[in-house]
Amino acid sequence: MTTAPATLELHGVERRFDTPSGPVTALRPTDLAIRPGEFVAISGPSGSGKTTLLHLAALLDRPTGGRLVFAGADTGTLDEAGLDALRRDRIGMVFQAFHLLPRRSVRDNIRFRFRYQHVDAATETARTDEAMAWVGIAHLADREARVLSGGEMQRVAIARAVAGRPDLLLADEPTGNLDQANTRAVMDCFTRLHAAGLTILMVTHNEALLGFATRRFHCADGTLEERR
Amino acid sequence: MSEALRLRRDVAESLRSQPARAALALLAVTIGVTTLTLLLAMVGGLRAEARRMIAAFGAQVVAAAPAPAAVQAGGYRGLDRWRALWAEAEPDRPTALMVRVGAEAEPWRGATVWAVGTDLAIVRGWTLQEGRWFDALDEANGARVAVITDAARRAGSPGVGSVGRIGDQPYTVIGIIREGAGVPDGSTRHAGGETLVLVPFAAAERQRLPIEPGGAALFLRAPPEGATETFTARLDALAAEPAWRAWQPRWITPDSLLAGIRSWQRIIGLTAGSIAALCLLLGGTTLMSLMLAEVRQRIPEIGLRRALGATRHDVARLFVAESIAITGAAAVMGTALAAVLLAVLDGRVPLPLQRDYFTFVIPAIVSIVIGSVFSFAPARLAAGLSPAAALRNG
Repeated sequence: MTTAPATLELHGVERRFDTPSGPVTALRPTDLAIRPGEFVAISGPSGSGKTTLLHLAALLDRPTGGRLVFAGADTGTLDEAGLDALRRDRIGMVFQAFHLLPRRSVRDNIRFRFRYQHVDAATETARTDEAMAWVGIAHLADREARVLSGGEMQRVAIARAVAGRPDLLLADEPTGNLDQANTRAVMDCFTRLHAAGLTILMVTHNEALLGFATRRFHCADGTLEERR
Repeated sequence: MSEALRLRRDVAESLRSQPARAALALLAVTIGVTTLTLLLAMVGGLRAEARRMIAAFGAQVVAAAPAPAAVQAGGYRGLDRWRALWAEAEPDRPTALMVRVGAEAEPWRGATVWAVGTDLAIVRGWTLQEGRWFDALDEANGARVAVITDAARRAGSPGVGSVGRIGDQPYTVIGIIREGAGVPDGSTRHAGGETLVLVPFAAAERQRLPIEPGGAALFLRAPPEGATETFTARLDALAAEPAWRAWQPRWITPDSLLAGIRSWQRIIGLTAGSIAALCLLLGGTTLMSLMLAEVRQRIPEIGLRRALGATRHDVARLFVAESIAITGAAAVMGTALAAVLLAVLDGRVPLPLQRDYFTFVIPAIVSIVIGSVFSFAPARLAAGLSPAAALRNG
């Protein structure tokens, strides 16, 4: 077991939502530590709380209880600008719906990763080319995103996420909209990135994908359980 | 790439992706800008016309227009006696008659001929651009000399020293009044200056040029301190005395001259101003409603931007910039359209139109301010979205 400090630590993290019919607990108090280089997968049915956990890990949301530590920083002590900066510089995200800019080229979509980062143009170009090479889409560089297949779109989204060289790559149902062949291609990408040392947290309802991860969890009714 | 360039690119892409919405908002604001520009051109034109009118009449000048029946009954002698009464009552104040006479003047076609007192130029503050004004000798001798306005010279006289004909007598031109002199009557017809031929009162009397009873006035210079109304009130009291009563003068002051212009200004301000305000308001609300719809449509994109590290401020700025881009383009289009319309309307409508810097700049600024103000709500809505909720929405 590695002794490196955790990239992400959840200490009793919980998330409740106020609804018209009363408070709903989406994530019960949860402990989790993800260390550098790990590939963690969380499975579970829809509404089980796994996406809520992912959004908390992405610093897109704040827990209503517990403590979330990212790269040694207690996020509870950070203001919104601090969270924005951490997310901008140290986190990459891949979504089920890809979230590409349809009228922009593949290259420009990946460059969009740097839209809010203060990176010089040469670095932007170099990292964009590198990311396209990693996921095998260099030949699509000048195509508009809207004409790509689902699998290609998701690989563009992965390239966009890793171009910023994040400490943690978060993937929310990355194969949810893909057929079997494209699912395999996308998971191959994740495997290669993990092998290159990237830390990955993926949530999926597809149990078959858990085999790609080094640690596996199951989420049900807001409770996270590790599977050995 | 600088932030400004990145923002410009984001804005351009957003507008390209929603061309119909952008065009609709653009059209609404363009109409507003055009209307406001036209309104300002008219109001500015009227203001300039008012300034011209005061300059032509003379600042601090009051005119007493006697009842036509009294003029008819008194003739030249009667008018001169009436002027002498005023001179006695106001010895420190120069007074001068200006009486229209019915006579053809050659070669000044269309010119009106006026018999005037020697002090008229002093009272009205006229200056000559060439030659000299009448002197006491001209008046005493009834010299056949004439002073013409610059507009009259342009209408057909070779200038000082030339000889023209008034009625059946030759008159030598001795002076030309500087641009702007005239006999304003409160209308907006005399923007270019009037074509006047002035002759000494004594010369007109000797030649028995027929007086036009409705065209006589005695001019007095009001005291520099205080309003002309106070002065005319004092003159009113004089005019009520038995020796003066028959003349029943009507007072003409700069304010009474401007009454017509002010009424036009009020009408235009209320009608065109309301239309311009409505158009701009409509443009602004159209822009706001379209942008609100756009925010709702772009929730996934907003979520993506926040996931990539955009702050709330970044998101708000994007929508404000889009709105300003639309209103900025509308400002350019509206200004260009208004410039064309003003060029077409100039001289075809009975209103003076002013085409100065502010006429075009103010509507453009108003348009951009509208873009900022009406984008506030959509920008706030976009910035306030929870990024997690925005991503779930996608």
